[in-house]
Amino acid sequence: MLLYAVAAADADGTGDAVETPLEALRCRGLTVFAEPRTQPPERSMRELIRFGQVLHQLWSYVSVLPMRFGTVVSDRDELDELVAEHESEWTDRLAAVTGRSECIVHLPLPERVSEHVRDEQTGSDYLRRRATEVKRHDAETAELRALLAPYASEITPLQPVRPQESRLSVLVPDEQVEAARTAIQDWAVSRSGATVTGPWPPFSFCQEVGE
Amino acid sequence: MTLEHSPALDETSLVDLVDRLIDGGVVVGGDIVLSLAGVDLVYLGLRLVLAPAHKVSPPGSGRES
Repeated sequence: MLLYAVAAADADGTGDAVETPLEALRCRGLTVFAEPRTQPPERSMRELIRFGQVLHQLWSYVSVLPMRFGTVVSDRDELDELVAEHESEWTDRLAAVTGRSECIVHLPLPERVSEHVRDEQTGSDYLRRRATEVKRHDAETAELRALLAPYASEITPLQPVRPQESRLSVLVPDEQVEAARTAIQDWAVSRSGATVTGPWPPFSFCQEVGE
Repeated sequence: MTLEHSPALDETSLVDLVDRLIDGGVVVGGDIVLSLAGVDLVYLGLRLVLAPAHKVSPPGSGRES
């Protein structure tokens, strides 16, 4: 079976809320949402997006800890064993993310050498400008963290996926998501720009982030 | 409305969604996890697919409302 998410023990079955029929399996003090299937998921973009879509629908319905795509168990015994091993940790994290959403902020990085190096008169001019830009980026990141602190219960940097930007992920109470987005967008107007995505299920907060 | 057809799911959102599905979420060890090697290929595929789209995006089009 393909695992989608972990929820509290009292989570109901999804009924029609999710387009793919999922089983709500009670395991010790938790519920695991899983799709019965005999084959692992195809490793394709189509299957990945379908998994994300079902997960998003499920999360709209009930607070969950999402599982990483491709997590499968062969039978109920294996699932019980897995939950027994992680129950305490998952219960704690579920409490931390319930009623909260993840938002991801993209911050442009200082421009790279190839984009402007031809306009520089000397190498030292370039190095001075580059140092100034890096310092500005660091200052903006610190400013952004301070701006997000009143909204976010947890903040964690994410690995860059595109070379021209850094990312910060924040865990925000559902009712504060719009306020946080607006605050970021207002802040970005007078800075080097920032883009926000989400709200997402708490993908980045399934383990304690330590901040 | 589906995620695929959501007007909010622009290129940046798609990048984040795919990245988090592959590199986020509850991670468990052992044999029950599919090899991520295949998924890494999907990830690489997304980057290749997205690269041309990003190059033709008009300036400032990435900012969401």
